[in-house]
Amino acid sequence: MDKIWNDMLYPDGQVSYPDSEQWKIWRQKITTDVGGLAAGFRSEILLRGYKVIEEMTGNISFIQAWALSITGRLPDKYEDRLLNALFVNTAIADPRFWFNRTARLAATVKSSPAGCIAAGIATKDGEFFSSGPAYNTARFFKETLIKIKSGERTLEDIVIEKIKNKEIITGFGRVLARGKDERNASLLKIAQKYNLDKGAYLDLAFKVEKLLQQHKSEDLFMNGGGLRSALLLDMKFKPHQIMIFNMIMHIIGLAGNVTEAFEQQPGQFLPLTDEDIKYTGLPKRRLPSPSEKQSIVRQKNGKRVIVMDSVSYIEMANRGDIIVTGSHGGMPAAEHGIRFKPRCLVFNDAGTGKENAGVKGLESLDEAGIASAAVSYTSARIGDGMDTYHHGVLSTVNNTMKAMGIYEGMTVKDATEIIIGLEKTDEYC
Amino acid sequence: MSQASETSRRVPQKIETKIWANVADEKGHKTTLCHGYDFYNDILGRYSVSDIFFLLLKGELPDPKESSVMNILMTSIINPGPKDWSTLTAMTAAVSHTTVGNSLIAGISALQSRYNGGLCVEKSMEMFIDAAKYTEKKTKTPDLFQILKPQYPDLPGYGLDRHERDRKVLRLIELIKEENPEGAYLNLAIELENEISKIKKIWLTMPGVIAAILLDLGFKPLDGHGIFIVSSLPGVLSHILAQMKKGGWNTFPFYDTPEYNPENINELTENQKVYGEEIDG
Repeated sequence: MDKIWNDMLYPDGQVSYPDSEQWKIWRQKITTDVGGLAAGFRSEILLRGYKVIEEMTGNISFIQAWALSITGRLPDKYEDRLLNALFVNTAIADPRFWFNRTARLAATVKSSPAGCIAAGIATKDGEFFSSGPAYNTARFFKETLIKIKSGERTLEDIVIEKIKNKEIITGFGRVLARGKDERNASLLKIAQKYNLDKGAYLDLAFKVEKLLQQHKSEDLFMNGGGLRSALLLDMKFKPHQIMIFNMIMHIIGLAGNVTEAFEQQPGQFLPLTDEDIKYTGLPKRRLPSPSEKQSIVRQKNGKRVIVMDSVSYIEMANRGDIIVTGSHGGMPAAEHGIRFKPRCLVFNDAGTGKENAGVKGLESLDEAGIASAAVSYTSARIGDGMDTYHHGVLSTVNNTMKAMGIYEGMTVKDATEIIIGLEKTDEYC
Repeated sequence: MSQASETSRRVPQKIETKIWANVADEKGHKTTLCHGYDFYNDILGRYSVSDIFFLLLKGELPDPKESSVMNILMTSIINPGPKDWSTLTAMTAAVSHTTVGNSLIAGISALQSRYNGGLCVEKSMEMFIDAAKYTEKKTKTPDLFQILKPQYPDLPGYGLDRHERDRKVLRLIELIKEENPEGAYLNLAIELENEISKIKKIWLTMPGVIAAILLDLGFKPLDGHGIFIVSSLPGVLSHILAQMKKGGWNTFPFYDTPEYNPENINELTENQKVYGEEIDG
């Protein structure tokens, strides 16, 4: 789709960066050539200069108005026959087709009708199907004809070069089926009937088909999209206008799918079970250590014992973990730890200090329902999480921790083993 | 057998995914795995949205530096603001009393834009990847600009925020540089900016700087397209809801009558009229 987006970006091909003066002109002001309530004709709604209510209504078809809006040119009644045929010809209702399927999937869960139709149309706006190939085909025909007319290249050169470079010429060949496109004969018949089969682009399209059959595969035929693009170019559509014109091309079958899904039970279309999904990802694995400042020393029963030198290293990823730190158990340390909702926090009592400030935080942790204890400052180095885990002996234990059967005098290792061994909490899903 | 049925035999009959599935163990107990992690028991509650976004797209949890960069990046574009076309599109849909979802669809339609949205990020990432190939060959930055120009005439990721230099970009670069000063793509983007701004008076835009940061995180251009859209949606949603709660179309500008002054009022010719003679005789 690169070409399409690049072409659309700057219509005249000139990249520009509007300055403040230009913005002053543009802002809060709408200018258009499409239509509206024209100055001096306020009682009349106009579309590209035609009176919608007085003139167009009842005299021209939907498809003529659709083409007029996009191109600014009102097709005549013979072109109308062909344009209508182009649309009717694409009334594919098979729910497997991607645009029908997406629209119907949205509809089966009772999304909004606009959301369903938007899903279907968005699916058509791709490189592989519908509007993308329509644009690329039209652009190829247009550029090729210019090169041939100017004498710059021959058609044979262009096609053979594309084949050599393994470039796909869109508009030829089919995704699902093989052989001749069954839609084309009926369209050509109508084009012939109204003398719309004499254009230079249709002639070019047939010549490309012939060259592809000669140099690539006898089984390669112009598809419906290729024929539509050639016919539309011959009716003076520009490539980007063809893309927009085609946007509602499959909407006939799509709309039926949406309607039917709305009339059925919710979720009736393509419901899947776990068995319908083939998981090809990694097998179940354990979480990594949240950071290099943390060490996972024990992991069992869905619980982890994590050691860190300071409680300041605790992270959101430590929710539910058993944390052994080298920090003191004062209020600031405890309040910091509470925010991360660990299962258990072990500190150093730092000699407890004045008014037991070194373990004061354990009471706050109790109120938050978090098990907590502090080790004697003589049993482990303060600021050394690993020493706390390996050699720490509990000197203070809060009530939540005591309820787990852990008391003063136990080693940190024994205490953490008890917590790990406690009944596993429910796992979800 | 129809031709379509033959095709359906060539494609998988089951949807395959490495990302997410409910997987049963030998006892039949099901676990929701996200790239191998037990999502509901191990990931949920432990990791931020941006971390999980990273996991979903890349298959691994971010390291602390990546986590921080991802969080800053997503937050920096969390709201395109009411004057951006995406938000404007979404708000305009919202005042027509459609659904929240449809208003978001409208917003996304503009958020994916080639001019300053997801497609611009995608193209910008492609351009930086190409640029990096040349810098590996020791191409000097001024020459690089000239090399890139034919293939990327609009220099995606460089331009103006309306008609001015986007100052948000500078703050984002400052924050990301604190986290990851070595980001090769961001440094390349800044070097290119220095050259480009000498000639054209355009600078890195948000899509451009986002593109470079995402490449430094190891993301691909298509990832960038989607990350840009999804990251911007919370802000768009906030404006949708605010307009919906405020009222409707009559609380939102309708603007002056467009300038539409056709030279002539056309009349239908008999050749253009398709109804009449056959049915009515």
